[in-house]
Amino acid sequence: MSPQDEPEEPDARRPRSVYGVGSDPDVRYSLANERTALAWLRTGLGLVAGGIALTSFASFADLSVLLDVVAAVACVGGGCLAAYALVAWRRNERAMRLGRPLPPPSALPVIVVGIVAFAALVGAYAIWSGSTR
Amino acid sequence: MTGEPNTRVPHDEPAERTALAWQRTALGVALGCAVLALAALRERDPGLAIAGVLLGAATVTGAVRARTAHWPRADRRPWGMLAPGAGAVVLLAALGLAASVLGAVR
Repeated sequence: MSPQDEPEEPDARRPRSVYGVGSDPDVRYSLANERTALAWLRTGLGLVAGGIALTSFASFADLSVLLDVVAAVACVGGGCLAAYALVAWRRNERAMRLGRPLPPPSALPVIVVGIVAFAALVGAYAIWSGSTR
Repeated sequence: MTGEPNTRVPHDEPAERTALAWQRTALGVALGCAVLALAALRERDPGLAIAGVLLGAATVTGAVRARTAHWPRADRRPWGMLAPGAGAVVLLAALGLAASVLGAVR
């Protein structure tokens, strides 16, 4: 019996919502999807690290509570992006297995607006604290 | 010497790039944990510092555990690594949130 004649074992990989449908795409595309998810994870991690750095700096330099609030929002945003990385990986992998078009990166506009708002808040605080000195 | 560029793609290049992406992510989480632990120590928050050290140690342990590359067969289980990776970032975000709330209350 050649290896091609052997019956294929059922796919036991999880999550079943992904591996229970369609067929395996080219492994290079799966790896690219995994790297995209990791890039989203690192973007979330950057936000969290920025939040931690901001709150440490605020307490170190005895700055306004506003910076702690901005830091808290950055940490929450980073955590949400990490969760989104999983959701996006699952959606993309499912689409590839089913041969459907890839869904658009729905978090991209949100993250752009969020980072611009984050930068504007910190910048406005820097200008305000400089002018009240 | 013909001067032609070498356009041949190494067979396992995508797998290598993915492995490096994992290394960068794990390194980022570990560094974030170190910054959090140091900031918490400075603020005399031993609980947060210990949580940061434990999370960093767990991340480094997970990152250095041997993983077998399955190439080209698609018997890979990325979810088994992606879910804990995302969990580590969410946990770090929760610790960062706790640190900023404590900083605002003080």
